[in-house]
Amino acid sequence: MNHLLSLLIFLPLVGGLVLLALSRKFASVVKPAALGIALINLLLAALVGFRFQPQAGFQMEEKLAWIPKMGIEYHLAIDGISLFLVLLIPIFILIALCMAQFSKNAYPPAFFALLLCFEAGLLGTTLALNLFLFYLFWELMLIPAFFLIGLWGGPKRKPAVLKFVIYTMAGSLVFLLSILFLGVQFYSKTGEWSFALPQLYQLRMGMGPVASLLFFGFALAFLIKVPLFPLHTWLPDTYSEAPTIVTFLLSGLMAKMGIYGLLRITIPLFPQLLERWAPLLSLLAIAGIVYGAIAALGQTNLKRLIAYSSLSHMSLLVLGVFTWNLASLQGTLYHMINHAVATGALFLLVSLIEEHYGTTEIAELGGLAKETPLFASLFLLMTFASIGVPGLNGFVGEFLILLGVTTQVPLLGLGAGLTLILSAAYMLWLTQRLLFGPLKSPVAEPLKLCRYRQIVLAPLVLAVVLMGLYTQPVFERTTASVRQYLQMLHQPQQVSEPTLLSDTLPASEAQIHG
Amino acid sequence: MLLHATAHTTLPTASLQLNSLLNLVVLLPLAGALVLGLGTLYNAQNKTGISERVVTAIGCAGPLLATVLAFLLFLPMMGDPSRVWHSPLLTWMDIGSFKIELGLVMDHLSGIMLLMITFIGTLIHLFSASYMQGDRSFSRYFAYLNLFLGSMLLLILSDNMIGLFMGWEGVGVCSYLLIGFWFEDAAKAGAGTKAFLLNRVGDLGFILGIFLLFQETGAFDFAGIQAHIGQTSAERLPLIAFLLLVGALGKSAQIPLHVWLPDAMAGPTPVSALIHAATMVTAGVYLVARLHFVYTATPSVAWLIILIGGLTALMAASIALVQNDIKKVLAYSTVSQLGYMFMGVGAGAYAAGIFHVFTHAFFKAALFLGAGAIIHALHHEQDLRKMGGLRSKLPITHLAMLVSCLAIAGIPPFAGFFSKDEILWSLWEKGHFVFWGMGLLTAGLTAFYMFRLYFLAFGGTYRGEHEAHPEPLLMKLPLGLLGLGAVTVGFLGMPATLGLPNWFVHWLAPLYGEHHASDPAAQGLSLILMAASVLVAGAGILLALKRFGKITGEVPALPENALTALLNEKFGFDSLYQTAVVGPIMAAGRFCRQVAEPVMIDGLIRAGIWGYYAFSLCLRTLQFGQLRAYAHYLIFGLFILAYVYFVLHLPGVFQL
Repeated sequence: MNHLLSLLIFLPLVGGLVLLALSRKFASVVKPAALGIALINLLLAALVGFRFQPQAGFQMEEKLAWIPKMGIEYHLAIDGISLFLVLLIPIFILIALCMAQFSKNAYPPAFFALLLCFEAGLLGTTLALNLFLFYLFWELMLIPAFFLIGLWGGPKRKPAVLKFVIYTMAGSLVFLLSILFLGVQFYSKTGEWSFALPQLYQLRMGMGPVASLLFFGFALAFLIKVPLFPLHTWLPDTYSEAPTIVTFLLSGLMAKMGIYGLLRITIPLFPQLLERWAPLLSLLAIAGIVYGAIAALGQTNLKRLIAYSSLSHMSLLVLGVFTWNLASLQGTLYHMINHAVATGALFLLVSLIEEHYGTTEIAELGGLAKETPLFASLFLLMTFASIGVPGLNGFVGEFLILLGVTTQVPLLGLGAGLTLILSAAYMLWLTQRLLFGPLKSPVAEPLKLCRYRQIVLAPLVLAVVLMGLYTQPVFERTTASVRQYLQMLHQPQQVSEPTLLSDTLPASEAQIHG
Repeated sequence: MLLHATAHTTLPTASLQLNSLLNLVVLLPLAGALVLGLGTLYNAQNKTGISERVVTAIGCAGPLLATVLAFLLFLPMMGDPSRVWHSPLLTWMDIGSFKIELGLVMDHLSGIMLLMITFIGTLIHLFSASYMQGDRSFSRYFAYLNLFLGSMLLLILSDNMIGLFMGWEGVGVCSYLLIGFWFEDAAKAGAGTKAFLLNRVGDLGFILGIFLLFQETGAFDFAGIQAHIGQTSAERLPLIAFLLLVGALGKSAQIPLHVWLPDAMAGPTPVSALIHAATMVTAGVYLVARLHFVYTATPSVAWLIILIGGLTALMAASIALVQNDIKKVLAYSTVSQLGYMFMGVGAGAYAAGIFHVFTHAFFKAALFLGAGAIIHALHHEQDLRKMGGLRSKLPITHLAMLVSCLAIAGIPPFAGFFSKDEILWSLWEKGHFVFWGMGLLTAGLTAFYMFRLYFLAFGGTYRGEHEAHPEPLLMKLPLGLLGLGAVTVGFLGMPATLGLPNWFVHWLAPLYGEHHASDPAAQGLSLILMAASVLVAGAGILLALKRFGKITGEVPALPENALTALLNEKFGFDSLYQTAVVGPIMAAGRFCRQVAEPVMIDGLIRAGIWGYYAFSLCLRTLQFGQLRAYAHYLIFGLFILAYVYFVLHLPGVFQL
């Protein structure tokens, strides 16, 4: 099986499209079929994880010429940076499908089919090594997300989804232009066309103003997806208006694609510029950490509160990326999983609240711990994981990121460390209002976690507990790749400046930089 | 970054197996917590219940076995002073440039703490079985209490900063859960949140300190840190010492992070005894004592510790004078005594500080359990003004509390006398005369408010409404043993200046050394100082006897003046934090939701979109459909392009 990675992408893509076509006529088949496909995909991903060798460099490469004239190839591969996303995505999609299956809100078959398409977009983005292919999957991710939110979201879904798409497209267009521009640069330097990342890494852009512009062209789309303060205003609306199961995927998986893009594309392409722009971006990240946390304190709605908490946590990941040392990068990779698990689980638990009580307004609920101890315990466990209590997974990532940041710039460590206090403040104040105090509930019946849902949530609980103490399985597989990426920054190689006009006109360069 | 390879001394195989017993000490209570926690959830889900007997058996088994193991491991250490138990626990991470291995070590410092914590912990588990009888969440309580004990043992036994921090935050979580144990009362849940947040403020400093210390020494384990402490930069070390101290201030409730401890009394009383008096809150003192080599190298920070300790001791003792809730008196008393311990370790008298931790654990646990027995007997009445005359109704409680009051007041030969005098003596000896004076004044206040409590609870006649019922056997036993401790454990540390054997200092000598200064001048001076502190304590007791000794009617209200107002306000810390920190942050949060998000940030972007739209309208008006106009645009555009081309490619063409 040499096409394992392709299979991983195209099974859900083709399956999703076929099921979408069938969803009206053969409605009864679609849901079980979707679950079956997601399960098979999970097994395939497990096989990938099993075959993975803990070493540097790309593995399981698949390369096919696509538009050879333009250097556009169908090129997939996996390494230690993408491995855990590739494992995470099928698990999360399966969980989302199961939650939708057991939900009292009858989600239509098309919902299931679109989730599979979404999975294909996510996996493709993670595995693509050709910028053109990457862009294709990057946009493919957006289409199912658009329909999932726009068709089945909350009452104010239309303006929310419009905002989401406009923001994302703005970033994407700049991204596309930047890709094309970089392709032209490569052509002018080498006389060939290529969009292959490993080749583009060799360009080693310099520090000129045009390079900076290009850097931001490549960063913008990713920073919007994460999102970085102040590009975040699409997030609370989208997260709170999307069906909560979709929010689970948006915060758990899609936001990670932004971090992944920065790691895989932006910084390795412009290693020289990291030093120049990291201070600014790190400060914005810290602003995001603090701002997201304070905004979370002010929220009156559960979904919005957790949306802002997600903003705060994701900013920590951005800080980890731009700190770019071994501890911070390892921490970032680890914390991507942690954040997906803890925040994702919180969104799933909120989806249960929404479904059962018909509201996500904090003021209308209270004292749930008395009524539904198992639910409350899970909520509290995920709260502890999300605020980084040692022994649970969240601490490992926060520890490494903060260690990397503090040993590099102690004052930034202090700023980022405020998350320890602030995240505890908004989360514990939330649990205090939601779980403790006298019982307040709009419906008579207590919320009960049925056995199916217990089984669906179990992997997240296990991840939270095991990944807090037993970290080697992850670090064993990421270390070599992370080291390789770190070295890109320190290779003493010749540096090239991008130019606005063709290189064959040397006078022009003097004009622009002169 | 310096790299430090953790080098464990090779041990003979026979003792290697014994070493792993140390892991059991920590894991047994944790296993109990896991079993009880899952059991609690299972029961809640299936509406069944296990009997309290079974829960008690499971809940007490872990602590009891841990105590037995602790003694078993301690005995060989007594025989062979060089014996130290060391056991690896797990490799937490290996990220490529460094490796963090968590291990446990039982040396002379952690050994003595281990004995104290397991012994008192077990007694309090037993007491709880009786105190919590009939509570709806009996098994949940024992799950938390087991989890706490496991975390606390991890904290003191860890051979490195990371394990210590894990235990440190773990006990914080348990404290949060247990303060808010009766969570249906919103105020109690709020007290838990407050405690956790103030501890987190400390923990931020703590973890930054750990990071910077790692950067300087390249090690997370204590042995490695100590070995490389000499290489640290002179500017960084005080900062590191200060950051670590911030953590200690949070956990040990010292100024300015002390405000959570009195509120923590919302938890069940045995919890207050175990967590908020005997064990967890002393972790800050333990941290300073464990990192003594850091604080010996930074005299300025050490002086700050004495200052904070002294101020806290005096302030908390004065607030305790006006409290009427029996638990609040004890809470402020704990804060005050912790200040004493800080003064001790700050002055470099680490053994004396730890000795006070040790004795205090016994008499304060006895006092809290005694208060628990009273509260239990009086149907959850905590107001001292509604007690009185309990001497005959609760004889064992009375006896245990009397000796504990004498101990904390510093009357010889009870435990507190020895440890407190050791601290006062080292303050004087090191020339901190002002702090010695503060300590002496605190001792007087302590004697007064403790005996005010004693006389209001046990003296005079009963003033409450409820019928008091006697304490059950399961309460008598721990109370008796702890009372016995309050009488006897002081003899472990008799003043060496008088030529008496000080086993405690001798025991800790491998860490802190020991000096024999029994010259006649010191002997005389120390006798004078001792006499002074006993006199002050005696005066405090007599004053309390005079005012509260035989109250038969209403308890006289306090005079209303500026001083009592200040004391009732607890020096205004809470309201200061409310107006200066909590209020503004909450207001900022509301501002974000109502103004910043919808208007400022979103508004800017909306303005951008509207600007774009307006611009497109302008462009549209240019295209009104006349072909001649379009031709003009075309030619105009051509001119611009031509100009740009010449400027770029033929420089100088336009220069005249």
